[in-house]
Amino acid sequence: MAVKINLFYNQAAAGWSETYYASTNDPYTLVNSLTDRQLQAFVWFRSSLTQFYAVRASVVGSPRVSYSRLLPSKFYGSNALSVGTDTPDVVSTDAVCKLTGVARQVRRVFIRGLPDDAIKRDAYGAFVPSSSLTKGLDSMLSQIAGLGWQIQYYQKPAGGGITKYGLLLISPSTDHGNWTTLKLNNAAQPFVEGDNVVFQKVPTKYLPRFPRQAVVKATGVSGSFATISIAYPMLTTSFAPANMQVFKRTLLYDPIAQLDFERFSEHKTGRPIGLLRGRSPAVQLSR
Amino acid sequence: MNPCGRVVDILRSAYQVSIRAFSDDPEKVTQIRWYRARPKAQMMPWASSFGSRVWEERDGEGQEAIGEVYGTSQWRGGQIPSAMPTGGLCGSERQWQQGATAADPIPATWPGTNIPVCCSKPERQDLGGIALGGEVASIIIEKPEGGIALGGEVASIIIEKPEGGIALGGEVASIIIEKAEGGIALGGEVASIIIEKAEGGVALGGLDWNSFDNDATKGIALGGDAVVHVRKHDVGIPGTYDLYRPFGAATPTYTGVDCTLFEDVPTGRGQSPINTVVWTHYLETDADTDILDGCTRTDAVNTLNYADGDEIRIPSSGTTRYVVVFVSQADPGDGQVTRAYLMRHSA
Repeated sequence: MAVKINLFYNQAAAGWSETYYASTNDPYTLVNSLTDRQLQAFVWFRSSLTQFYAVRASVVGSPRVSYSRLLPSKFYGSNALSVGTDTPDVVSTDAVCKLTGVARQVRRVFIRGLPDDAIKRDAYGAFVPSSSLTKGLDSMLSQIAGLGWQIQYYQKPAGGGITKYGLLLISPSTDHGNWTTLKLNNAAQPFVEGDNVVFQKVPTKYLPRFPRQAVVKATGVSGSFATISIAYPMLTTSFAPANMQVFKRTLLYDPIAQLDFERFSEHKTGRPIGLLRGRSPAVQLSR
Repeated sequence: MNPCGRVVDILRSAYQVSIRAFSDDPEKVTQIRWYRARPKAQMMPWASSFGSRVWEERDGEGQEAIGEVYGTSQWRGGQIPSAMPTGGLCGSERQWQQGATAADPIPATWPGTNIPVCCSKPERQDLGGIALGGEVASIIIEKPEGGIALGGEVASIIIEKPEGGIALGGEVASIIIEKAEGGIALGGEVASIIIEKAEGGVALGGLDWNSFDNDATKGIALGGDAVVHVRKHDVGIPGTYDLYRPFGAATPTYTGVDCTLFEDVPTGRGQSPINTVVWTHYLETDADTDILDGCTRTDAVNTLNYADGDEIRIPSSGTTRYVVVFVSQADPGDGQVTRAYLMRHSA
């Protein structure tokens, strides 16, 4: 079983996260076993305003158990801000890095919160990361690899194609009030309980907030057709979609083995984590 | 289950959402609200299924049997919704991860709140206002109109609805001013000053430990080295009493019973224009003490029929006589006692 790891950073009025995966089913132990030295490796090369704010881990699958750990306010970047009006140290400036797994799977991450002095071009216009940034990315990779953190990817069909199944009927489940049963236009059952499935051509007008992806909660048979159940509380009667399809998606994980700087970029950042937005009239909740 | 003020998860925005909390009744949903934890609040001691799903929803996972219900959230401001505990934890690791069951017991709540007693006793909530301070633990200002609170190493300053009120504290443990109009509270090394509903009241504390004024109108309280200044019926006189049954009996039924006597005319008197005195004092004694009032009630009538209860003489062997008006059980804070309301008969 895998755990999703979110690393939360704040810088002034912005906040962002980086996502990795690990092979465990115990998010509490994973988060709390990170040492100060390991945590510092993720932030020291960033700007002095960047704070490593929290670590969160959640099980990918069911039950989706999660744990968040607010970090003490000592994990800051160590690189001073740039001096001068031509280097504004905007938080949206980031380094695009390529993560490559042992199985050669690739995923890109945006490393943000960098001082603008770390972002330069050479005489030919090529991006040149500063020595501090290069050293920081190396130390971060060293920790990621040492921790066995992974990237998530979808399994590509061996036969070069995805088998999609049409859906004949969508009905409230008779077994569970918050489930919906879907009748496949297929006699043999292609799925097993726990499979990740993806839906296409969902008629949202008739199926509001129907998930694009879901986990198969149960399998069955209806007449001569296979059925699957997913967690979607269907409040109306049965519905026959016109072109809706479903196919299986398999999540796999590849331990990170390599991190390569590719280029600098601009990436939109959200609000800070933990500093809740806005205020509204306080309302007393009834029990 | 209740996190009792612990940090359950981290968010960018707070919201209200339905959750499924019962493993044996997935149809049953409960409303929860995410709000801002206090600084340095404790973390949860284990992982749970009740973390925020805003970090998971985009992963395309299905709706879980336990936890937040997708599509039911409404954004909220993140303020503390009601009284807030500062410690403790309700629920087991199993319940936080697998959900509660209908058979799990529901703990009692702290009086006047919806906080279960497995949490620590809740503190007053803090909302807005102006606070300037050094190492301040908490400053609470509600609806001040021109109110100012300035503190150095302040543990807590609470000002509610003052109009022009001022509270200045040095090493202040707590200053509470509620509904003051023009009230002033100045404290040096003050442990606590509480002024409620004062109109023009002034309280100045030097080395006061405590100073309380309730419902003062143009009242003044000045404390130098005073330990406690209380303008209310909070201090009792310990002693013993003799009990005569019935009232007026020639010989006592019990003698030398330990008690604490409280003067309580301000509470026991009626309101204008009647001004009837219902009781003048009350005593507190051991919970199992034999002491009787004479009140009865007629069926379908919501008033008591008064009759003399036991006669009490305080001090024991003295001549000051009281009649027992009403007897009840109470817990003033250090255990259950029998409380007998008395009307003085003769001095």
